[in-house]
Amino acid sequence: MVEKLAKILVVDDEIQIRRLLRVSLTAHHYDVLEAVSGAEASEALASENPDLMILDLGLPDEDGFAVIRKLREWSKLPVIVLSVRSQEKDKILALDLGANDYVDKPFNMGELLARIRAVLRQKIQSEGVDPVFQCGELRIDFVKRLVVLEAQEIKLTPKEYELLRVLAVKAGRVLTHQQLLREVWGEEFRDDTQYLRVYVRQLRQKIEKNPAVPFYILTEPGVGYRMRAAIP
Amino acid sequence: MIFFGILFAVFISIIWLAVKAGREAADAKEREAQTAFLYSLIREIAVSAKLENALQVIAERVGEMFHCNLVLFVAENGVLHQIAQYPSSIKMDESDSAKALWAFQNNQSAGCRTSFFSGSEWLFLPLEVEGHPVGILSLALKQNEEIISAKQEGFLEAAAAQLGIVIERARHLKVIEEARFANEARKLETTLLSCVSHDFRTPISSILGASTSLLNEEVLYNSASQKELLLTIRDEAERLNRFVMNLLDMMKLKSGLKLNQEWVDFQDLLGSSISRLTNLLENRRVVIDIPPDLPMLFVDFVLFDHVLLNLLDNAVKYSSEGSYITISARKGINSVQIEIQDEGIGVPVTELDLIFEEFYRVKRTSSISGTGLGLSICRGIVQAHGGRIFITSPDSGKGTSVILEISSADQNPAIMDDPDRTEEQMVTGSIFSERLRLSS
Repeated sequence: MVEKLAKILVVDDEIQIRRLLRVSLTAHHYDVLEAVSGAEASEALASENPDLMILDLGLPDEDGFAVIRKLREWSKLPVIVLSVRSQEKDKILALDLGANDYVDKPFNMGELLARIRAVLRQKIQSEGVDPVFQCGELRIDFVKRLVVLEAQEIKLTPKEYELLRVLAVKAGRVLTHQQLLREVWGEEFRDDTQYLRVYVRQLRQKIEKNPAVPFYILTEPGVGYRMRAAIP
Repeated sequence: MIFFGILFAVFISIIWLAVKAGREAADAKEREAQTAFLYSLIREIAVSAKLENALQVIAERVGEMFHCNLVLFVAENGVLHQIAQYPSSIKMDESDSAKALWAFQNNQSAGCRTSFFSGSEWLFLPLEVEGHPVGILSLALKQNEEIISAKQEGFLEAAAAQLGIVIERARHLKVIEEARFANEARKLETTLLSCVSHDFRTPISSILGASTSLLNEEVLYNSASQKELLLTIRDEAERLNRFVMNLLDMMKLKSGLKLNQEWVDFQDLLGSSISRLTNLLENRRVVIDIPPDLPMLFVDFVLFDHVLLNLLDNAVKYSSEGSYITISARKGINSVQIEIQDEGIGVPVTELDLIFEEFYRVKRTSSISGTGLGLSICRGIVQAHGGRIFITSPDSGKGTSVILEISSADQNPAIMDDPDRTEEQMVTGSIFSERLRLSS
């Protein structure tokens, strides 16, 4: 018997989506719980102790945002929003309220599975970050502040390194423009997206094989950036 | 605009009447006051956006001029509506409103200074157009101790007649506007329905066909065939998704686009579009040519992402496997030019402009499924940014170039106060060479 990987609570009022997720996630050895409303979700969260919640924003009884807000009052449970609301401001709001990531409907199952793995890994790591990030040919040694690409040391300015570090520590997860600006440049620069654009461009010139088709630093239109998750 | 034109013309004629009346008036002071009043009226009307606002301004000014309470009624389906008043707290009581209605129904001046209801403190003047009343101008002249002159009374009557015309024309314009809007909505609805029923059916048929084939237990497909059927389902669903995205964009364009402009690196933008079209671009050779010093664009990232998605989708759709798609960017004078070039079937010269019209499809492409929405959306988005989009196609069969021209800053947005530059410590390497690179 294969050991179950994690218990995932799926909150969605559409039976087709729940069926699809149940079949696919079970096949990937996850335990799947289902809820069709905010009320059912709250009940399952309190009694079933899941490891992760996949949440639709449009629920019959309450707003998905409210579910996240209430959950964050007492729990750090990882939340991935899976929703058709494609308004960028909704995505940013969900992330600001404490969602760990979001995936747009319609979605690609491979993509969703990758996000689930990234978020769960984060949970395990929450005690402390790996001292080394490795993804493809890119290696970051956080202790020595060393960046190596294909066995070649890459020279970065302090801000370039800081931006790369912030992205890599949360690899696999989307970070909003504001989150990145705040962390790397400080609160007063939170609206200066041009800094971010310039530095992402510089970083890509240095670490991407083809900066116009980036592999490591991925763009989330209108929302932010995401570092490709480490390949274990 | 037409509405303001009419208002302006009307008030010019009121001035003319006033001047004419004033010329004969003995009291030069009064004439001066009337003229000043009319000028101030026109100034205020020019900035008001709606008929109601314009009428409110008129009510206030006339009320001030005659130092009396004033109520302006406009008729709709035989019922009078109090639409403007002076001062703003005034509301006419029921018995006076009934007299106003009587004056309207009989198209007859009534109230004080007339032979009907002469005991009333109000004077009710019908606002008429070609013998038909469209509203009532009422002034509480009894409360005013001053007796108004015959000249002023003449002015009032002329003003009432002109007010009637303003109201009537505004109403006509509204009816025409509504009819035009309804007509456009109907046209759009019909086209949308035909688009949904025809163009959506193709991908839906493929999805249904492929999935029911796979579910059919009588046939055992080998893994290659299975994969082919599954790829059909995925690709067709992606196509449907792009259709839906375009429909949503078109609705946004119709209801007035709200731009969320920010500084955007074109390379970043293109990378994000290409990464979402990996499946589609699999069988094309994509060449990207972006100069490193290309200025940033001040655009809405998400909308421009949709523009690129549509243009790349077209480049693939109308070209053959293995052909080149070249995306290049150039720096112009205060602008950036982006070109997406394919080696596909091209666009006939006669259709180069038509192709941007909603639902228009090049005639010979009828065998390739499409909605005719993509380019019209691209144009809508680019124009909303003050940019320009056009197509060149050297000759049929020799490919298509779509060119976007977007104004840009001469230089990249200032990061002169770049905090990085003031930091002394470097992670690795020489500070000097890094600084040079940054400032180049």
